[in-house]
Amino acid sequence: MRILISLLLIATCCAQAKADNAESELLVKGCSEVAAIYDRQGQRHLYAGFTTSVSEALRAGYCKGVIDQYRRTEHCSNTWTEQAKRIAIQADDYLPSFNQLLSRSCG
Amino acid sequence: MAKSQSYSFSDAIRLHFGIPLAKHEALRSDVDYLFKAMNKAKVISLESEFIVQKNSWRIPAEHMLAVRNAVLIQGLFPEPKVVIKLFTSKVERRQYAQWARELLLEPKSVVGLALIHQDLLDFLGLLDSDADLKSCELPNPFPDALPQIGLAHYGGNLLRALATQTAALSVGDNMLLHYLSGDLEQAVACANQLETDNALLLQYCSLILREYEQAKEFDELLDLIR
Repeated sequence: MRILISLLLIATCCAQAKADNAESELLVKGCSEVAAIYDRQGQRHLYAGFTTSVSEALRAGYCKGVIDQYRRTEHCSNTWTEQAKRIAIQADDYLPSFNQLLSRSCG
Repeated sequence: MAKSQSYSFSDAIRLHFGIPLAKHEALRSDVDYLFKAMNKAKVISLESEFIVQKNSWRIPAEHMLAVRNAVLIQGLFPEPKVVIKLFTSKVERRQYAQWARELLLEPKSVVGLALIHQDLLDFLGLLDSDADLKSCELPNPFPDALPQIGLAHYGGNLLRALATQTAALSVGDNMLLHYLSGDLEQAVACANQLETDNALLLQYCSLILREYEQAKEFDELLDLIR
Protein backbone atom coordinates (compact mmCIF):
# COMPACT_ATOMS: atom_id res chain seq x y z
CA MET A 1 0.00 0.00 0.00
CA ARG A 2 2.79 2.39 0.96
CA ILE A 3 4.59 1.60 -2.25
CA LEU A 4 1.48 2.37 -4.24
CA ILE A 5 1.09 5.78 -2.60
CA SER A 6 4.71 6.70 -3.19
CA LEU A 7 4.42 5.63 -6.83
CA LEU A 8 1.32 7.77 -7.20
CA LEU A 9 3.11 10.73 -5.63
CA ILE A 10 6.08 10.35 -7.95
CA ALA A 11 3.75 10.16 -10.95
CA THR A 12 1.88 13.35 -10.00
CA CYS A 13 5.18 15.05 -9.32
CA CYS A 14 6.52 14.09 -12.75
CA ALA A 15 3.35 15.18 -14.47
CA GLN A 16 3.59 18.52 -12.70
CA ALA A 17 7.25 18.86 -13.68
CA LYS A 18 6.45 17.96 -17.23
CA ALA A 19 3.68 20.56 -17.48
CA ASP A 20 5.95 23.15 -15.93
CA ASN A 21 8.68 22.16 -18.33
CA ALA A 22 6.37 22.56 -21.32
CA GLU A 23 5.50 26.10 -20.22
CA SER A 24 9.17 26.92 -19.77
CA GLU A 25 9.94 25.52 -23.19
CA LEU A 26 7.22 27.61 -24.79
CA LEU A 27 8.51 30.71 -23.05
CA VAL A 28 12.11 30.08 -24.08
CA LYS A 29 11.04 29.40 -27.64
CA GLY A 30 8.87 32.52 -27.78
CA CYS A 31 11.59 34.72 -26.37
CA SER A 32 14.09 33.25 -28.84
CA GLU A 33 11.72 34.40 -31.57
CA VAL A 34 11.71 37.91 -30.13
CA ALA A 35 15.49 38.00 -30.25
CA ALA A 36 15.57 36.58 -33.77
CA ILE A 37 12.93 38.99 -35.10
CA TYR A 38 14.71 42.07 -33.74
CA ASP A 39 17.94 40.68 -35.06
CA ARG A 40 16.43 40.40 -38.57
CA GLN A 41 14.91 43.86 -38.27
CA GLY A 42 18.42 45.18 -37.68
CA GLN A 43 19.83 43.33 -40.68
CA ARG A 44 17.80 44.94 -43.41
CA HIS A 45 14.86 47.27 -43.62
CA LEU A 46 11.55 45.39 -43.81
CA TYR A 47 13.39 42.08 -43.67
CA ALA A 48 11.70 41.07 -40.40
CA GLY A 49 8.20 41.52 -41.78
CA PHE A 50 9.13 39.68 -44.93
CA THR A 51 10.65 36.65 -43.24
CA THR A 52 8.74 36.18 -40.00
CA SER A 53 6.08 33.50 -40.12
CA VAL A 54 2.70 33.81 -38.46
CA SER A 55 3.55 31.20 -35.79
CA GLU A 56 6.92 32.82 -35.06
CA ALA A 57 5.14 36.13 -34.53
CA LEU A 58 2.53 34.49 -32.28
CA ARG A 59 5.22 32.80 -30.16
CA ALA A 60 7.06 36.09 -29.84
CA GLY A 61 3.81 37.74 -28.78
CA TYR A 62 3.35 35.05 -26.12
CA CYS A 63 6.82 35.85 -24.71
CA LYS A 64 6.00 39.55 -24.59
CA GLY A 65 2.67 38.87 -22.90
CA VAL A 66 4.25 36.72 -20.19
CA ILE A 67 7.03 39.21 -19.53
CA ASP A 68 4.58 42.14 -19.41
CA GLN A 69 2.42 40.26 -16.96
CA TYR A 70 5.44 39.49 -14.74
CA ARG A 71 6.51 43.11 -14.75
CA ARG A 72 3.14 44.26 -13.42
CA THR A 73 4.14 42.97 -10.00
CA GLU A 74 7.92 42.79 -10.17
CA HIS A 75 10.31 45.62 -10.84
CA CYS A 76 13.03 44.99 -13.43
CA SER A 77 15.44 47.69 -14.57
CA ASN A 78 16.33 46.04 -17.90
CA THR A 79 14.00 46.38 -20.89
CA TRP A 80 11.57 43.63 -21.80
CA THR A 81 13.58 42.76 -24.91
CA GLU A 82 16.73 42.37 -22.82
CA GLN A 83 14.81 40.15 -20.47
CA ALA A 84 13.52 38.14 -23.43
CA LYS A 85 17.09 37.69 -24.68
CA ARG A 86 18.18 36.38 -21.28
CA ILE A 87 15.32 33.89 -21.30
CA ALA A 88 16.16 32.89 -24.86
CA ILE A 89 19.70 31.77 -24.04
CA GLN A 90 18.54 29.10 -21.56
CA ALA A 91 19.80 25.67 -22.54
CA ASP A 92 17.19 23.07 -23.44
CA ASP A 93 18.58 20.35 -21.15
CA TYR A 94 18.15 21.69 -17.63
CA LEU A 95 15.36 24.13 -18.03
CA PRO A 96 14.56 26.16 -14.92
CA SER A 97 10.93 26.42 -13.91
CA PHE A 98 8.70 28.99 -15.48
CA ASN A 99 8.95 31.33 -12.47
CA GLN A 100 12.71 30.87 -12.20
CA LEU A 101 13.11 31.78 -15.84
CA LEU A 102 11.31 35.05 -15.24
CA SER A 103 12.92 35.97 -11.92
CA ARG A 104 16.47 35.17 -13.11
CA SER A 105 16.11 37.18 -16.28
CA CYS A 106 14.71 40.23 -14.49
CA GLY A 107 17.72 42.52 -14.17
CA MET B 1 3.25 46.38 -128.98
CA ALA B 2 2.24 43.97 -126.22
CA LYS B 3 2.78 45.47 -122.85
CA SER B 4 4.74 43.27 -120.38
CA GLN B 5 2.68 42.16 -117.45
CA SER B 6 2.43 44.43 -114.45
CA TYR B 7 0.46 44.48 -111.22
CA SER B 8 -1.28 47.08 -109.11
CA PHE B 9 -0.19 47.37 -105.45
CA SER B 10 -3.30 45.62 -104.26
CA ASP B 11 -2.84 42.81 -106.81
CA ALA B 12 0.68 42.28 -105.55
CA ILE B 13 -0.37 42.11 -101.91
CA ARG B 14 -3.26 39.80 -102.70
CA LEU B 15 -1.08 37.49 -104.80
CA HIS B 16 1.74 37.28 -102.28
CA PHE B 17 -0.13 37.32 -99.00
CA GLY B 18 -3.78 36.76 -99.84
CA ILE B 19 -4.68 40.03 -98.11
CA PRO B 20 -7.20 42.46 -99.65
CA LEU B 21 -5.44 45.81 -99.40
CA ALA B 22 -8.68 47.79 -99.59
CA LYS B 23 -9.73 46.38 -96.21
CA HIS B 24 -6.55 47.34 -94.39
CA GLU B 25 -5.97 51.05 -94.43
CA ALA B 26 -2.80 50.94 -92.29
CA LEU B 27 -1.19 48.33 -94.50
CA ARG B 28 -2.34 50.14 -97.64
CA SER B 29 -0.64 53.38 -96.67
CA ASP B 30 2.50 51.55 -95.41
CA VAL B 31 2.82 49.65 -98.67
CA ASP B 32 2.10 52.70 -100.79
CA TYR B 33 4.74 54.73 -98.98
CA LEU B 34 7.25 51.89 -99.13
CA PHE B 35 6.89 51.07 -102.82
CA LYS B 36 7.10 54.70 -103.88
CA ALA B 37 10.18 55.25 -101.73
CA MET B 38 11.80 52.18 -103.27
CA ASN B 39 10.97 53.50 -106.70
CA LYS B 40 12.48 56.86 -105.86
CA ALA B 41 15.63 55.18 -104.53
CA LYS B 42 15.72 53.15 -107.75
CA VAL B 43 15.58 49.84 -105.92
CA ILE B 44 12.63 48.93 -108.10
CA SER B 45 11.18 50.79 -111.03
CA LEU B 46 7.45 51.25 -111.11
CA GLU B 47 5.46 52.02 -114.19
CA SER B 48 3.05 54.85 -114.03
CA GLU B 49 -0.28 54.87 -115.75
CA PHE B 50 -2.41 57.92 -116.13
CA ILE B 51 -5.97 56.89 -115.39
CA VAL B 52 -8.79 59.35 -114.87
CA GLN B 53 -6.52 62.31 -114.15
CA LYS B 54 -4.63 60.34 -111.61
CA ASN B 55 -1.26 58.70 -111.68
CA SER B 56 -1.54 55.01 -110.89
CA TRP B 57 1.56 53.01 -110.20
CA ARG B 58 2.10 49.48 -111.39
CA ILE B 59 4.71 46.92 -110.49
CA PRO B 60 6.45 45.18 -113.41
CA ALA B 61 6.47 41.39 -113.09
CA GLU B 62 10.24 41.25 -112.61
CA HIS B 63 9.95 43.34 -109.43
CA MET B 64 7.24 41.25 -107.81
CA LEU B 65 9.71 39.27 -105.65
CA ALA B 66 11.44 42.45 -104.56
CA VAL B 67 8.20 44.01 -103.36
CA ARG B 68 7.18 40.83 -101.57
CA ASN B 69 10.51 40.74 -99.73
CA ALA B 70 10.25 44.45 -99.03
CA VAL B 71 6.82 44.07 -97.40
CA LEU B 72 8.10 41.23 -95.20
CA ILE B 73 11.16 43.23 -94.19
CA GLN B 74 8.90 46.20 -93.48
CA GLY B 75 7.14 43.96 -90.96
CA LEU B 76 10.35 44.11 -88.96
CA PHE B 77 11.67 47.52 -89.96
CA PRO B 78 8.75 49.83 -90.72
CA GLU B 79 10.80 52.71 -92.07
CA PRO B 80 11.16 52.58 -95.85
CA LYS B 81 14.66 54.02 -95.67
CA VAL B 82 15.74 51.03 -93.58
CA VAL B 83 14.11 48.62 -96.02
CA ILE B 84 15.94 50.36 -98.85
CA LYS B 85 19.23 50.11 -96.98
CA LEU B 86 18.73 46.38 -96.62
CA PHE B 87 18.43 46.20 -100.40
CA THR B 88 21.41 48.45 -101.12
CA SER B 89 24.02 48.10 -98.37
CA LYS B 90 25.47 44.73 -97.48
CA VAL B 91 27.07 46.01 -94.30
CA GLU B 92 23.93 47.64 -92.96
CA ARG B 93 21.85 44.67 -94.03
CA ARG B 94 24.02 42.42 -91.90
CA GLN B 95 23.74 44.70 -88.87
CA TYR B 96 19.96 44.95 -89.10
CA ALA B 97 19.65 41.22 -89.68
CA GLN B 98 21.68 40.45 -86.59
CA TRP B 99 19.68 42.88 -84.51
CA ALA B 100 16.45 41.26 -85.68
CA ARG B 101 17.87 37.85 -84.89
CA GLU B 102 18.79 38.86 -81.34
CA LEU B 103 15.41 40.38 -80.63
CA LEU B 104 13.31 37.70 -82.26
CA LEU B 105 15.22 34.76 -80.91
CA GLU B 106 15.50 36.31 -77.45
CA PRO B 107 14.29 33.34 -75.36
CA LYS B 108 12.73 35.51 -72.65
CA SER B 109 10.09 36.99 -74.88
CA VAL B 110 6.77 35.23 -75.05
CA VAL B 111 5.84 36.75 -78.40
CA GLY B 112 9.29 35.83 -79.63
CA LEU B 113 8.74 32.23 -78.63
CA ALA B 114 5.45 32.08 -80.49
CA LEU B 115 7.20 33.36 -83.59
CA ILE B 116 10.12 30.96 -83.58
CA HIS B 117 9.49 28.41 -86.26
CA GLN B 118 11.34 27.21 -89.31
CA ASP B 119 10.11 29.98 -91.61
CA LEU B 120 11.38 32.62 -89.24
CA LEU B 121 14.76 30.93 -88.94
CA ASP B 122 14.97 30.66 -92.73
CA PHE B 123 13.87 34.26 -93.10
CA LEU B 124 16.55 35.50 -90.70
CA GLY B 125 19.12 33.25 -92.32
CA LEU B 126 18.44 34.64 -95.78
CA LEU B 127 18.30 38.18 -94.44
CA ASP B 128 21.71 37.71 -92.85
CA SER B 129 23.29 36.52 -96.11
CA ASP B 130 24.27 37.88 -99.48
CA ALA B 131 21.22 36.40 -101.22
CA ASP B 132 19.79 38.87 -103.72
CA LEU B 133 16.62 40.31 -102.25
CA LYS B 134 15.32 41.05 -105.73
CA SER B 135 15.44 37.51 -106.97
CA CYS B 136 15.21 35.14 -103.99
CA GLU B 137 11.92 34.59 -102.22
CA LEU B 138 12.02 35.19 -98.48
CA PRO B 139 9.77 32.79 -96.56
CA ASN B 140 6.92 34.52 -94.74
CA PRO B 141 7.74 34.58 -91.01
CA PHE B 142 4.34 36.05 -90.16
CA PRO B 143 1.94 33.18 -90.82
CA ASP B 144 -1.08 34.78 -89.17
CA ALA B 145 -0.99 38.40 -90.14
CA LEU B 146 1.54 40.91 -91.33
CA PRO B 147 2.71 43.05 -88.40
CA GLN B 148 1.65 46.10 -90.41
CA ILE B 149 -1.91 44.92 -89.75
CA GLY B 150 -1.77 43.06 -86.46
CA LEU B 151 0.29 45.48 -84.41
CA ALA B 152 -1.41 48.77 -85.18
CA HIS B 153 -1.14 49.51 -81.47
CA TYR B 154 2.65 49.64 -81.82
CA GLY B 155 2.58 51.55 -85.09
CA GLY B 156 2.88 48.24 -86.93
CA ASN B 157 6.38 47.87 -85.58
CA LEU B 158 6.98 44.30 -84.53
CA LEU B 159 10.43 44.91 -83.13
CA ARG B 160 9.20 47.84 -81.09
CA ALA B 161 6.39 45.67 -79.74
CA LEU B 162 8.92 42.97 -78.89
CA ALA B 163 11.36 45.41 -77.34
CA THR B 164 8.57 46.88 -75.21
CA GLN B 165 7.52 43.47 -74.06
CA THR B 166 11.07 42.32 -73.43
CA ALA B 167 11.66 45.43 -71.34
CA ALA B 168 8.49 44.80 -69.34
CA LEU B 169 9.50 41.19 -68.84
CA SER B 170 12.98 42.11 -67.70
CA VAL B 171 11.65 44.63 -65.18
CA GLY B 172 9.34 41.82 -64.10
CA ASP B 173 12.27 39.42 -63.89
CA ASN B 174 14.18 41.85 -61.71
CA MET B 175 11.16 42.37 -59.52
CA LEU B 176 10.82 38.65 -58.91
CA LEU B 177 14.57 38.18 -58.42
CA HIS B 178 14.64 40.86 -55.73
CA TYR B 179 11.53 39.41 -54.16
CA LEU B 180 12.94 35.91 -54.10
CA SER B 181 16.23 37.09 -52.65
CA GLY B 182 14.32 38.80 -49.84
CA ASP B 183 14.91 42.39 -50.93
CA LEU B 184 11.38 43.66 -50.68
CA GLU B 185 12.26 47.32 -51.13
CA GLN B 186 14.04 46.70 -54.45
CA ALA B 187 11.20 44.45 -55.56
CA VAL B 188 8.72 47.22 -54.83
CA ALA B 189 10.87 49.73 -56.71
CA CYS B 190 10.67 47.42 -59.74
CA ALA B 191 6.95 46.84 -59.23
CA ASN B 192 6.36 50.58 -59.29
CA GLN B 193 8.26 50.87 -62.57
CA LEU B 194 6.38 48.04 -64.20
CA GLU B 195 4.18 49.01 -67.10
CA THR B 196 2.59 45.92 -68.48
CA ASP B 197 -0.67 44.32 -69.51
CA ASN B 198 0.66 40.88 -68.66
CA ALA B 199 -1.87 39.40 -66.20
CA LEU B 200 0.64 37.19 -64.43
CA LEU B 201 3.13 40.00 -63.89
CA LEU B 202 0.35 42.25 -62.59
CA GLN B 203 -0.63 39.52 -60.15
CA TYR B 204 2.94 39.18 -58.84
CA CYS B 205 3.11 42.92 -58.66
CA SER B 206 0.06 43.25 -56.43
CA LEU B 207 1.27 40.36 -54.28
CA ILE B 208 4.58 42.13 -53.72
CA LEU B 209 2.93 45.45 -52.94
CA ARG B 210 0.68 43.74 -50.41
CA GLU B 211 3.60 42.03 -48.72
CA TYR B 212 5.40 45.34 -48.64
CA GLU B 213 2.51 46.98 -46.80
CA GLN B 214 2.38 44.12 -44.32
CA ALA B 215 6.12 44.17 -43.75
CA LYS B 216 5.99 47.93 -43.17
CA GLU B 217 3.19 47.52 -40.66
CA PHE B 218 5.14 44.78 -38.86
CA ASP B 219 8.23 46.96 -38.77
CA GLU B 220 6.33 49.86 -37.27
CA LEU B 221 4.79 47.57 -34.68
CA LEU B 222 8.23 46.21 -33.72
CA ASP B 223 9.47 49.76 -33.19
CA LEU B 224 6.38 50.65 -31.20
CA ILE B 225 6.69 47.79 -28.69
CA ARG B 226 10.46 47.65 -28.47
